[in-house]
Amino acid sequence: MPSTIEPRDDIAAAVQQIILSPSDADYLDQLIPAIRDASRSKRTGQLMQSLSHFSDRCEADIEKMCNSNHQEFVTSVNQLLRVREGTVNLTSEILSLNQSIQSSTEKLAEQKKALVDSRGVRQNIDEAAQALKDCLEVLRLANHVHDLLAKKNHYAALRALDELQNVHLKEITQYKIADMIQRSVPATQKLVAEAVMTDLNTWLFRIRETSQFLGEVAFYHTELRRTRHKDRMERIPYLRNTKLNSAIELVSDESEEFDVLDNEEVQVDFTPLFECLHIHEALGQMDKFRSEYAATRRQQKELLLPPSVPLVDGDYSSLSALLESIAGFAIVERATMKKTQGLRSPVDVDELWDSMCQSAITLISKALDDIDNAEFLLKIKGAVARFIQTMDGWDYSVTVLDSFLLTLFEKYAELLKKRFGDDFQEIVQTDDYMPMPINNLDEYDRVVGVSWYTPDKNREDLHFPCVLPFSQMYPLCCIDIRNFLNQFYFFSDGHFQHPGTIDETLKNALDDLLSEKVCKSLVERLNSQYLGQIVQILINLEHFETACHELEQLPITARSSNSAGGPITLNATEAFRSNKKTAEKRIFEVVNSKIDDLVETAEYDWMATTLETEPSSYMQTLTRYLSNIMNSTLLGLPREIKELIYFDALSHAANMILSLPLSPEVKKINPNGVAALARDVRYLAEFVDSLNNPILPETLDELQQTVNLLLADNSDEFYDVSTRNKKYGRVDPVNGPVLLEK
Amino acid sequence: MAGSRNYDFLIKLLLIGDSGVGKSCCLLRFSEDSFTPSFITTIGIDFKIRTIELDGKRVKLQIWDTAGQERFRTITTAYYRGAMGILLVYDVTDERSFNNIRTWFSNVEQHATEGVNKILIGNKCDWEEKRQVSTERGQKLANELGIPFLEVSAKSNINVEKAFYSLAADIKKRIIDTAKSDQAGPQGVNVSNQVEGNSNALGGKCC
Repeated sequence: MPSTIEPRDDIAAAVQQIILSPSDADYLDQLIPAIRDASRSKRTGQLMQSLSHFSDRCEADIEKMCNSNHQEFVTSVNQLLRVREGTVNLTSEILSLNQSIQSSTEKLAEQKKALVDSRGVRQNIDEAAQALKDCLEVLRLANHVHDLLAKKNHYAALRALDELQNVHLKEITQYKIADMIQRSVPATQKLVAEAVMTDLNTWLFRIRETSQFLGEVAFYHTELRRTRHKDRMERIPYLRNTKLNSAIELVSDESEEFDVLDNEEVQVDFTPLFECLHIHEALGQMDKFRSEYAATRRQQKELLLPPSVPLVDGDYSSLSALLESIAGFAIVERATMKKTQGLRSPVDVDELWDSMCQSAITLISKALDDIDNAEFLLKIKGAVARFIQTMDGWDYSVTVLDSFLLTLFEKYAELLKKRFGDDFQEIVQTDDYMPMPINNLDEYDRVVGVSWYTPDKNREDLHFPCVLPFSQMYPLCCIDIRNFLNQFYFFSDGHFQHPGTIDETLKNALDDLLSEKVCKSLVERLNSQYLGQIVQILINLEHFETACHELEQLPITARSSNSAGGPITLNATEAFRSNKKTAEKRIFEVVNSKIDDLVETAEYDWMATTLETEPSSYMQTLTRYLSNIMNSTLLGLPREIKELIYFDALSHAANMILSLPLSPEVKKINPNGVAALARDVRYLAEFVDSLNNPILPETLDELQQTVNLLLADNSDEFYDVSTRNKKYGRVDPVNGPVLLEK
Repeated sequence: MAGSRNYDFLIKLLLIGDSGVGKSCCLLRFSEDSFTPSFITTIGIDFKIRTIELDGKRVKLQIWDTAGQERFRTITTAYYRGAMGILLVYDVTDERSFNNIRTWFSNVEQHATEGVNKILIGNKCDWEEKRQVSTERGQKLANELGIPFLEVSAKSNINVEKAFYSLAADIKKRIIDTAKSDQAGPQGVNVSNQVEGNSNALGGKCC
């Protein structure tokens, strides 16, 4: 409170100053220097006194103020007190309020904190839930893959798996489960691959089971086609000589569309294979799959090959089964190649095919040794041919098989040759070597029909019973030869690409049979003592020679039409021809030996006392025998041969007779002896003359001239060259004198 | 020639009988001791020679084999006359051939030299299961005809030798050993006192 008192001096001024200080600080600031100044000036008391003075004045002011304002003051104090009370109340109220606010804020803070916490939790939960959801979705997808797998929906499974891996898993990479699933993907893929492989294996197994039937159906189909083709060839001339599987055949058979792989009998569904293929493609395992598939097929191929193919007792079912299996297998291969790209390598397929063919050939070849029946072999050939024709249609190389047919053919030819060889031998052995008797026209027609024989009489002029020149072996052999030819060509029926071989083999076989079995056997029989048989052999040889000439022409027409033809040459022709000479010689030999036998029974008495007027018995027998065999045994021979025989026989007889008196045993001959000989020679000459053949008499020239010489009165003529040449030209210059001596 | 002759007597025999009874087989068996199962028909005429020994003499048998078939009858009949012995052959398995023996016999009577020796031969006696003519019937017929009888088998070589030997022996006895009958033996060569001293063939009425 500013005092209004004025200091008397500076202290008083200072105190004034101090008191007037507007604020405590200033107050202090002014006081302190005042005190300090006072102290220094030792006027503290003065200061104190100023101060006290100031205070007293103030107090007096106050007292004065108070006396004037007391009431108001009291009132104001009261009021102030009340205000103060109110303020205290308010303050406590505020305090409590504050307290209460304080406390509630704490709660709030707590709550707020809880809220924040719970919000955090909640977010966590949300996130976890989302994660779970995501994972669950992925898991669901993962399970779905397995479901699809279970439903054999392999490709879908694989797609799903792929999606799972590439899309869904990406979304949950942060979770461990993703990792797990990710890690399980290859396993699952493997599972898919395995499942699909199992499926494929089942399929492959079914294919394997079906293969044989498939082959059977294919064969059957080929057979039908063959029949249709044959029909067509017969109906339509320009189709003739076209082959099965040729473009023409295929076009003309178009209307008969037939899918071996999908028909009423058999259906081969490639779906499992395609699926498998897709899947492996998707898995990027094509190479592996390809090689596995190839390996499986190779195994299957091994499985379908049996250890042996027994071909016994006309049963070739095991062979059929094998060929059907191979065909089925190969057809599936070819179809697989066409339906898929790059699954089967052509090299692989062909390799399997070649190997199967090779095995089949080996198996059949092994079994061939046991086969001794040509018809059966023909059936086997038919089976193989059908196989070839079927597979040719599937673009498989059949060259090896075609050449195998050659092997079969060789065996076939061998069997036929053996059988017919036996037949011929049997015929030759059981023949009666008699001109063949024919009882009626019907029989005649049949024999002439099968034989290569041109009768010299008209059919109408025949009187039955009659005989044909040859013995029955000839028509029998002719029949056999025809059968033999036919049987040979049976082999080319159907499918056989080597017509030239057939012709060639046939020619050789036939030639061999005729030369070895017929001709040789006949020639061996020439040793027979039976003149009739020998004669018949000669006649038969003659006919066989004719047959050979015919045969040399025949195959041109009979042989497979597309082979180049020309007449063939059979060695047998020459064999028959030349052995006719052998037979002739043998006839000479036999006849001559008979003549010897008869001349040996001559019983001339060279020193007979009486003159014999009758011809000797042996001479009569001899001439009668000669004449008889000419009219019976040798009757069937051609005239030239008969003449030859006569010529030879008579020459021989003459020589033999001439040798009688020349014998060293005969020492002397008297006229009676000469006369007897002359009588016989005359008899013989008369016989020869009666034969009316201009050449024959000369066979007796030497004999006659010699006898004449002996009869001659003047034997000196013989020693005269001129007369000798005239009368005794044929007399042996040595024998003549010897006889004359006697 | 006589000197070189390798026999003492010549005997001509003749085989007759139906076709297929086995005449040629019998002859083959006798002349060559062989047999052929195949059926070979004789055409016309054939003969074989075999020299045998009888009582120390070499006897040359000239055996004529005839075709049994009717169509050769004219040829074969001509040989009856020269034959000194005739074998009438039938097949014991073929009744017909047996029944025809009478016909053959009458042919012999008609064409052969009187007094010619004959023998009845039943061939194929080995074939019992097929036999149609019993031995008794054969024997009976032979008795009736007054000629000897033998059953033979060319195949099994039964009695073939015996048949020919006995017939030859009978002939030798008749012609050579008995008086010189004059039937001109076929040979009829009259051997006189000749050097070689061999009486000639059967005709050989040598003294």
